[in-house]
Amino acid sequence: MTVEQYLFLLRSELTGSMPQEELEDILRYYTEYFEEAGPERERDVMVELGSPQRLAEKILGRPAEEDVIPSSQPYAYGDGESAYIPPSEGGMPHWLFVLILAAVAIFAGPLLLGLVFGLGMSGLVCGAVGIGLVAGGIGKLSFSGLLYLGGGGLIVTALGLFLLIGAAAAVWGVVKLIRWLYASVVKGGFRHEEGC
Amino acid sequence: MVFQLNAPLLDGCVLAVLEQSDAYGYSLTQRLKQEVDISESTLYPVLRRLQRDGCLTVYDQQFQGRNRRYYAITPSGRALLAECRQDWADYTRRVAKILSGGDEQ
Repeated sequence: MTVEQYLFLLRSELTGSMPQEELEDILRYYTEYFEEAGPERERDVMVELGSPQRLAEKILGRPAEEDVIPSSQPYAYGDGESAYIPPSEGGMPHWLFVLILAAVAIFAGPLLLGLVFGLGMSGLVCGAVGIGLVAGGIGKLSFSGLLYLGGGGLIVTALGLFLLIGAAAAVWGVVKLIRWLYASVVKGGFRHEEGC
Repeated sequence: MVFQLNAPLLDGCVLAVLEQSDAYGYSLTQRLKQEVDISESTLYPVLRRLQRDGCLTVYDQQFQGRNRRYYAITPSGRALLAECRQDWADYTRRVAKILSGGDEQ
């Protein structure tokens, strides 16, 4: 496991459990810590910190307020716990991941594209029809016409927006999934994320 | 080592190191690890808490193209350190007295 993968997993463990600012502070601390330790100590540091899950528990387990660590509790963590062995660095190479992704995309791609395109287009059409109906309702200038056409139009517009959001969520979900897979299986995945 | 630091004592040790000079997380951890058995994961919550309590401040400094976050002791931190030193001196004196058979002085 690379440092980037370790920190990525730590981030996912902590996400949603604390304010963003605090999360960034923690990640920043451990990013810097790994940098200072240098490449040759990376693995030692991971072993001492424990798995990302365990480290997250340690960070979360102590209430952030006063007693981050109860005074009665000794500091020697790690004693009595089974040692953490970070997964080896030998993840699959980048090109293999891209190849597999491409293979999957050939089969799942049209389906997904259809789904996103279908949702998006229905959304747009519904939106346009809805707005048209509302405009028609206003054009009639009779109360009942406004009520029927306008009300119906608003409902159809809302449906259209809903479908558009569905399409966007589908795209977002797929991107998220690919990123996660990439970080989990690829050797040195996410190195480009950290910059430097 | 059969004795382990508890939270207030570790606070004191961190503050004592920072009294000498400002330090960043890694250097502070390594400095403490030279003397006492603490894990690499121990210090973040301690630093965060001391910072929240106003005993420490932080500032960032560039080093070889990356950032180092330094911790510096504040006047409140110095006060807490003085208190810790006093308590520790009292405590060790008492324990020493008992261990030596109660005939000290």
